[in-house]
Amino acid sequence: MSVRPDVGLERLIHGLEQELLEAADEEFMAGAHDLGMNPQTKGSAAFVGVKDFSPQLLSALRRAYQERLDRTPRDDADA
Amino acid sequence: MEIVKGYVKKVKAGELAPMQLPAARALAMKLVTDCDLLRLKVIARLHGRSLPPDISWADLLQEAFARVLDGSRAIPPDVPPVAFLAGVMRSIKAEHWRRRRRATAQQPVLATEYQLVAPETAEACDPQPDPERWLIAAQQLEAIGTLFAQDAGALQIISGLGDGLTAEEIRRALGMSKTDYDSARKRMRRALIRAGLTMGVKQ
Repeated sequence: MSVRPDVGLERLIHGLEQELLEAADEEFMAGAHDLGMNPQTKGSAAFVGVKDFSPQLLSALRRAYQERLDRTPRDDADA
Repeated sequence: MEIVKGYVKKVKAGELAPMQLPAARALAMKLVTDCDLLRLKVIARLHGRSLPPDISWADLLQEAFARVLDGSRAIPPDVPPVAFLAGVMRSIKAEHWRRRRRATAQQPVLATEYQLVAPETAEACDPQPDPERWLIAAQQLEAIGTLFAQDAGALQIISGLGDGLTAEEIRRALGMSKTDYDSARKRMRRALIRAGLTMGVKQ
């Protein structure tokens, strides 16, 4: 690659994105099956971060819940 | 997960709607299919390779769906939803980098006002080129190279794509038959799809 890394990476991502847009649905199903995932089952690991909680969202929810727990006694005291 | 279940039980019923991710809402509305979601996940993870470190591929994907669902980005009638959502992800990624560049550009000004840093430090924050982006890109180019290390044909195609060549230009430059070229592309896509669907955060 004969360009700056950031420029080269964006061009490469664009090219690979086109490849993925052109790929047949079967290629994605086969890729999931290769990894032992069955996208046709409910709660398939193939959809983590897509339909279900992402690790980041799960972590944010844990923090939010903990903050809510921490806040509750003070709220009660104020009332 | 127990904590999340507990959280969901404690909030009022009316507050539950935001708990469903935008991508799941789009699926329920039949805007996309399960297979479209897999495709978009792989594309999002690909774009995730050139995101600023504080943004994840999942954020990018859900934000793209959210913008389409809230009407701020309307899908034109002649554009397939998956291609449009991929474009929205590209645009959001560019926005994040622009915002980051602006924030970086402001830092030296603020610092100079308060005389906290020497001028040469401010010069190091020059966004052209962004050193952090440059570093992330170099690391990711290496990671993508590793992904295809066992496949010389795929590596040659990757190199051509990085140089901005089209598929046909790469095939001609490599002197490959159409059959060999299509076969190498298929192997490349398979590796990319596996990397995009795997459970690990990094590949």
